[in-house]
Amino acid sequence: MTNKAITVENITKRFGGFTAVDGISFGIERGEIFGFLGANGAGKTTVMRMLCGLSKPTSGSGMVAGFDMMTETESIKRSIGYMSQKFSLYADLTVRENLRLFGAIYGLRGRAIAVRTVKMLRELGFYAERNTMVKDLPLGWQQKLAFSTAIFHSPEIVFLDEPTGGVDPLTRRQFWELIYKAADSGITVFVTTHYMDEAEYCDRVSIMVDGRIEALDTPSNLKRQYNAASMDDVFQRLAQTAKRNDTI
Amino acid sequence: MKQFISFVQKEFRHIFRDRRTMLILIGMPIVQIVLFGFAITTEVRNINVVLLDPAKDRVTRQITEKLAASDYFNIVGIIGNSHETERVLLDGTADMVVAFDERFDEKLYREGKAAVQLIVDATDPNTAITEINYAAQIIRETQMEMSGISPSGQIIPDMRMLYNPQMESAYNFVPGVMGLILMLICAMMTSISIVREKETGTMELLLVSPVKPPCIILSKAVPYLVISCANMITILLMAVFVLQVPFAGSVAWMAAISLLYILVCLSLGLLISTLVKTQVAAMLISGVLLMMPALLLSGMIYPVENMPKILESVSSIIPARWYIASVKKLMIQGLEISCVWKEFIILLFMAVFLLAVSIKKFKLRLQ
Amino acid sequence: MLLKFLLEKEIKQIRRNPFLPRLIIAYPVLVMLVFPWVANLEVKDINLCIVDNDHSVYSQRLTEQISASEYFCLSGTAATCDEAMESIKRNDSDVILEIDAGFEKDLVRGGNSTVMISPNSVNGTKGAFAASYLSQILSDFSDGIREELPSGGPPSGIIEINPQYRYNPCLDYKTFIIPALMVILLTVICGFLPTLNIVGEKEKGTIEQINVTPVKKSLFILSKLIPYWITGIFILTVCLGLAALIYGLIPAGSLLTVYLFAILFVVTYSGLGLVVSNYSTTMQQAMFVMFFFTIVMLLMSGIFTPVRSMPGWAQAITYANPLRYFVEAMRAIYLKGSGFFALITQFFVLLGIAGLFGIWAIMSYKKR
Repeated sequence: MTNKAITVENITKRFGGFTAVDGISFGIERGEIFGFLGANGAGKTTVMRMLCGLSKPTSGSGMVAGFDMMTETESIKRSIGYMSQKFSLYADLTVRENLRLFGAIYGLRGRAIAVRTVKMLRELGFYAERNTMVKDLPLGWQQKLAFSTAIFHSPEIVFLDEPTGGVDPLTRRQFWELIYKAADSGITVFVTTHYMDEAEYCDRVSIMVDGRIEALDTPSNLKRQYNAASMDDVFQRLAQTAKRNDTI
Repeated sequence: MKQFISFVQKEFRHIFRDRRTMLILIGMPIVQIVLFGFAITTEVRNINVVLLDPAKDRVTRQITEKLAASDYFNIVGIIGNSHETERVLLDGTADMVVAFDERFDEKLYREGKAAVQLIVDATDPNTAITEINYAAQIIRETQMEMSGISPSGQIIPDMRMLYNPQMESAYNFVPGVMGLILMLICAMMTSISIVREKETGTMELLLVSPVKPPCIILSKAVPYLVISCANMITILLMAVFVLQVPFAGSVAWMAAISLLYILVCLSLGLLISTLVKTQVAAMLISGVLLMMPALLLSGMIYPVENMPKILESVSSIIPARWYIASVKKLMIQGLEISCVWKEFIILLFMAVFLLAVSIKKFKLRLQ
Repeated sequence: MLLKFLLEKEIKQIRRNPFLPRLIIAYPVLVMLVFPWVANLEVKDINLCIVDNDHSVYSQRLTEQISASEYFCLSGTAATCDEAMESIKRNDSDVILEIDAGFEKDLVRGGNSTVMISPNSVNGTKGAFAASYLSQILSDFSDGIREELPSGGPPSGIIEINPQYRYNPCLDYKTFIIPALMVILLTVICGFLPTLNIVGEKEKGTIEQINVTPVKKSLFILSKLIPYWITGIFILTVCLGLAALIYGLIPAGSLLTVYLFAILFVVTYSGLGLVVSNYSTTMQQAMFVMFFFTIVMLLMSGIFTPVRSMPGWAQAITYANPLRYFVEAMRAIYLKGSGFFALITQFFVLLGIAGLFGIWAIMSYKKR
């Protein structure tokens, strides 16, 4: 068994005649914060869905949290957390009820859920809002709560799909503090984003163009390699080479 | 105007993109017409009869043959004694048991009287009455034929079934299907499509655009108006050419009153959309408050005049009731417009009232 | 164990919905209170217009005898047939009875006399009923006249026809329709609500969140169905109570059999809902597809019109209709007092359909 959280070998995904993901390979270390960038339609979401066990690759192989992507999707699901770009907690349940539900889904016992809930809500400063309906919380709080729910069961890897969309800069900052904390506790973080300043926070970054990974390195190495002042410049330069349209 | 046209185009695109819904919108009236025209009938046929005939003589055999020869009855079995009657009715083998007296022939001509019991499964009372009527008629006719004397002192009724000589149930159902389909498409679809824009937030987007709000709402209504008209024409064509329902009245007036009804339904849809926030609520309200009453209280299946007075008055606020009544008169009876002025005025009043209320509500929401 | 948590979630969400709990309580009550009165195919109060060309004692007596019957009310007399037609057009009358001149004379002489019956038959059933009631009265009337006449006396060799109405001796249409209304209610509640719920989660995207968790899809779906099954059984109980309290209608057979069939039916019909929800992406779509199937199934179930009167191909379709078996069973239990073993065919066919829907639902879920 390797020390990698994710390894992917030559993965391809086709929808009919359209090749969404074209033979990509990469590896992610345990406890790493891995930024997954790309223009809309580059194939990011498709890769993410395959890694989470939501869809199967057309060809290629890969291991996620020590399980085979092709055959052990159910085991994968047990060891990961996921937070999508759409807000995905139940709006008509309270904060505590949501945690109770997702805790139970990942096999935590009733007492363990109660203990963790109190601890987590205290840390987030949400304890007073424990009986508030999720839809009545401000958006920033909802996002933080969704992230905390995704790592509530201490998964090996957490997948974040544009987690900070529509959130103010201050909350984004706080959000990234939560991400660092999670990474410190040994959780591997796989994050997609459109904010290039966020890309700078990552340990390593990959940039997808037209279904392929065009660049993969630490932010500072990438800037040096492309002779750019910021990640934004790096991204602009690579994204311009895209032939695929913006829509999918 | 240009804006308006592009809005209408956008609505059409929404509708056409969803193939399945489109298919149902087009297919529903066709399937319903076929079902009502060919499958569903209030006539009573294929009545399964079991015989209890201890006599087995000339008369009973003659009656049995006549029953078997008629279109309505199938003789499915014979039982030996009256205890079995219960069993064959209970397990559904028989709809009716025809039980003759013993020594039937002898009793009839020696004692002047013989009895036959018609024991019928009256779970469905209407069917039961009809079954008894058919059987009684056949028995009487047989007796008359056998006695050989021409009947005297009889009143012979000469039947003339007005407007529907073949007694097709389609004549009654076609106007009902029209009332139902138009309500479904106009009211339900319109309300859902407006509420969906509210739910997804695109309504706000449209409202901040320079297009005037009434224009937006109108552009949502236009495609459903067009689809409704297309459906109405489909139904009418199928009714006339497939079901052979006559179109006795004036096409122009039919079109006029149908447009009026469509307008009423559209305003209802609009009104619902201003009242609710979610698609589910819009669906359930239009389903529960519009469709069920339109199906049951409009006189489509159950005659309005059979209802208790309170419900009869409730049914008078249901647009479908007036529309169906006027279609029956205009299309099938071929009456002139002067016979439907009451229905016309009521629908007109409803249209004006509903439009006024929903526009007011809509403006209120904007403020 | 996990199911308990998932159920807790569903039940809380239903309870917090501003609309659903009210619907679940109010709808059955409303239906049970209103529809038995509406769903009435008994033809009564037929408006009769008489054109009396004879103006005799006999024609007068006939008129009186008809007005005395419970089926007819005399809406007026007209001098000519055209005048009578006008009243039909105005919807003042439903049927015209035209008595020929010489009506009395013919009868007294022992000959036959003729009358003309013209019912408005746009509604075929009503027209036929009017005609058949009226001829019944005419035949009674002429029998009466014959007996009075000196030449007459009872003709020899009369066949006495004695009808016996089993299971519903009062010929009450309500007892026929109430078990069917329960079927309709369960169809609506257990067909539409779970479908809308599942497609709703699809639209909101929360189902995606569940998909990345280790929760088995079957368990998740089950947690969505069970609350509606319970709701269905609850509604059935309310209906059974209301039927007994308001209409004094108590099943002649065993309640246990009623519940057994009801449980099997709600499971079956929610299976169809599941299939539809698997193929639908929007609520509008799901709603319309469900609506389409439900209407077709309701019409083809025998609830409103007898199945055995349908043509062969239509009857063949009804064999695949779960509603048909459930309605048959409910009516048999309620009115005939049939036991479980008398309805074993219906039970197993329903079970088979449930299995088919179940398999189809699972297959269509996997495909996506």
